[in-house]
Amino acid sequence: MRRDLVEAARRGDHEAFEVLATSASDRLYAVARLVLRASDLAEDAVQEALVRAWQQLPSLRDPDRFDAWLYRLVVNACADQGRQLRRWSNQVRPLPLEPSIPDDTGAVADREQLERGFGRLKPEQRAVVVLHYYSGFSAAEIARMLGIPEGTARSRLHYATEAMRAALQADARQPEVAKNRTA
Amino acid sequence: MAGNERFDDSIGRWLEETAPNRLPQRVLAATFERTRRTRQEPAWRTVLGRHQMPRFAYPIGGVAVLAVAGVIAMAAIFKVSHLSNFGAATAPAPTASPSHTFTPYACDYFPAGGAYGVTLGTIRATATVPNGWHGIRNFFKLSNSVCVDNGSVRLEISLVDEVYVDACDWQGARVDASTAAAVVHALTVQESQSWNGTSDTTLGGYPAKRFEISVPADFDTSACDEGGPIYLWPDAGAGGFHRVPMASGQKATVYVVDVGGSAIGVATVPWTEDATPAEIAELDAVVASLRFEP
Repeated sequence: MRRDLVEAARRGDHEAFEVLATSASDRLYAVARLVLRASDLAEDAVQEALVRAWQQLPSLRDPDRFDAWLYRLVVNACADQGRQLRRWSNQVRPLPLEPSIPDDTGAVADREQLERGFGRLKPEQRAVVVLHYYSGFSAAEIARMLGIPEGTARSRLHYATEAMRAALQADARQPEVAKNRTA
Repeated sequence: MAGNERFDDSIGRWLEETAPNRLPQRVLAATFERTRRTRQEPAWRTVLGRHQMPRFAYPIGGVAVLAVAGVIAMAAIFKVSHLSNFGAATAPAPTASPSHTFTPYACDYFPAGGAYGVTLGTIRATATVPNGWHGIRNFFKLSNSVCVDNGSVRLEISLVDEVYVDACDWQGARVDASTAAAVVHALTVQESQSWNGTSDTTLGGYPAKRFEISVPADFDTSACDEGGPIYLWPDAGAGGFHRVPMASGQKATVYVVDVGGSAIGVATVPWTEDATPAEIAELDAVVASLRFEP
């Protein structure tokens, strides 16, 4: 039935497209909101992605790839939003990556620390993190979805995770540094 | 290794916790406003658009186009002068270029009258629609108006597995209602609507409960989510669309049908000021024609 809807939407059926878009909208919004960290930007990104989806649907060769294709459009729209507002480039402060130390940061990581670590990621890294850890896609699926080599998807995921871990470790060290300075 | 896994789990849990639940309805509405006004691009144009050409390609392309145009013009001049030596040429008959047919929107999709069917989840629902009626595919919403939302009578059929706790706060909490009995119970206690009585009946060959739901005339639906109206349930068979919109003063006859363990919600809504007895009789006939196939 879903395939039929995609076929109908490709032929210009507004109703079919609206059913498809509505059924996907919450998932897409969640991804956009998590990547952009701002509701208004995420709403705009989803709207842009869905309008592009409607416009470009005739070029979608395989209807079974519709969902993956929508994710790709949303990730691209998120990138556009970030570029337009030049927020990401201002917010991104790359941290030096340190070798991963076997530790128990997972146990102590709290929401604020994760938020800070995530906020320091580049947009393409955020997207991969969200698609993997939230939407549950494998690196291979993300690669196909975003049209990037699988190795690139894996490395983005690896560096993003390491960057978040490094940010958490840096945060954890700061109180000790401050304590040493005052001692 | 265990630390890595715990860290991965932490990221997953944090994303789950901070993810929003729903895209605001106004965003979808605005999106569909835009798509309805937007034509789809031909496939070739999108494909070409993916290949970004270097800047120098554009002037080169322009020069090439001019050169080709010049060659064609020269050839045409030569041909005319050549033909003039041998008498008048017969001009080719104009041929109509194939006209592009744009798909009409909404109500024009289905020819009036006849059998009409939609699959809700795994259940096939069909009805016999009178002349002049229209429907929306995939929603199973029928109306006697050209514009579906403004019909004087309408019928909505949904696969129901959740009911809004408050029909006015339809972006808020929902209650799981996976059986017909659970749907009936959830509707009887649903806030922001008045529920009246219940009776046993059959619909489409399956046992059903029939009752009425109304919105008091003095109930201000503009205070509801997105500025109203109220909605009774999301349609599990159609992507969770909010279903059975009702405004102040409206009354719906609701059937909850137990089709092989799944709950099908059927709501008939005559617009109180516009519906004539003949139209209501037509609506009842459509309901009586309903058939379900699990």
